[in-house]
Parts: sequence; structure tokens; C-alpha cells
Amino acid sequence: MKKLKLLKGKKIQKRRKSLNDTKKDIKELAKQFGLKFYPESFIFYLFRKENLLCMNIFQDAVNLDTIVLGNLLKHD
Amino acid sequence: MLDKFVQSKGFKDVSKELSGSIIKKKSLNTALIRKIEDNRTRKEYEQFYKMVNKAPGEVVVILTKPSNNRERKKVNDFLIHEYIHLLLIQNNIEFKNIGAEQWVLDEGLVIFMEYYIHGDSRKIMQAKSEDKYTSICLDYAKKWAKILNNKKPKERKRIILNFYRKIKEKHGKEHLCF
Repeated sequence: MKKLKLLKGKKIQKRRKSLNDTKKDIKELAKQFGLKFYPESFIFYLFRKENLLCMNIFQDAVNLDTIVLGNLLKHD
Repeated sequence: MLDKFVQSKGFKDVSKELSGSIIKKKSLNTALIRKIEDNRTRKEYEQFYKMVNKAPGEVVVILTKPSNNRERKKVNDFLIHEYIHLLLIQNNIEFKNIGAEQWVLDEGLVIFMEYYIHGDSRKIMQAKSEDKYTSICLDYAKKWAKILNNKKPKERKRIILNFYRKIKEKHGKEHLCF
């Protein structure tokens, strides 16, 4: 199997410290799987833990009475 | 109901862990936000919704804020996981869309690709987990590894898309898996 150019040995551990490099890794991964890569949408937001979990509930629950922890875990 | 859930042991256990998620803009429901009584939480959601609406694309990655050094070191792993989900969604590969029960195919594929990105895609066959959820996902990741390892990029894409089509065609009629 062809190894990823960007991801060899110990170098990668250092590079991973930079979150921007993650984007480059994803770009290379897309290439290796023949997928299209849209760099502008690879951004992320940080959220308080409790609220991220609640966000998952909001997303999933049409009826809040149906919430079960299993639904939540599926999205991790 | 929500308050009860937030106070539960299950919620507390899960909320101790770092996690990430994919949010689709179309799933954001502003009516629910208005029902949040706690000012701080409601404002945080309102700000979040505004940010998300301005973000490019239809899907946004969110992660929990790390609260200590141990978590800070792990953030990137979570980011990679969610970014791979995003990459697949952008390429119209989301098995969960066919049926909610197909989420394991998504998770398995993402985990396989995580191993691949770290240059460990062969080691995945030896990977084990005592956690039931992770163990199920790993099983599916191994199945993906069997059909995607040692393939050329275009072939990988073709295999994934063909499999997606098959699952879609057979959905509701018969069980199909690898």
C-alpha cells in the first residue's frame, strides 16, 4: 500500500501539534480515497461539554420524551 | 425531561469525556433555543447558531472545549474523526441517510480512514476494545479494511459508492452487509 507522503514516522507527531496540519492530512486522505475536498468548509467550533451533548439532543429529538442515552452515543 | 436527563449519572459520565459532533444547518431549530431558561446557555446557543449560519457549507464540526492538558492533547484526534465524517458527507457518503441503523457503516469507515491517516491501516486487524460501542465500530472498520486496503484511490471510491448503492437498493427489503 502506498504510504501517505505527509504522514511518515515521528515527523507526524510534531506536525499534529498544529491543527492546520490536520486539514492537510484530510486533503491527502481525500486524494488517497478519490474524494473531493472543499478546504473552506473544514473549520470547527468549540462548545462547552454540557452544551455539545444538549446540541446532539436538539438535533435528534423531535419529541424530547424520546431521548435515550443511546441516541446520544451514536453521534460521538 | 431534559433537566432530569442532564442531572442523571449517565449524562454526567458522558459529559466527562471529550467529544465531537457534526451539525447540519438544516437541523438547527431556533424554536427550541427560545425554550432554554438558563440565560448563559441560551446566549451560547444563540451565538453558536449565528456563527453556524455564517459558516460555509451545510455541515459544521463542533468539539467540546478541552478542560485540561490531557484533553488538549486529544483534541486533534477528535478533530480528525469529525473532519473525516465531514469529508464523507461532502462526497455524499452517509450511510445513516439510508437508514438510522446503518450508522455503524459510517463509523466503521471513519475509523478505518483514521487508521489510514496515521499510516496504521494494516494494524487495524489487531485492534481490540473492551468498550462495547467501540468494539462494534472496530468490527465494521475491519470489514472496510478488508475491501479497501491495497486499492488505488479511484478503486476505493468506486467500492465505497457501489456498496452505498447496494445498501440503498436493498434497504427495507433484505439485510445486506459486506
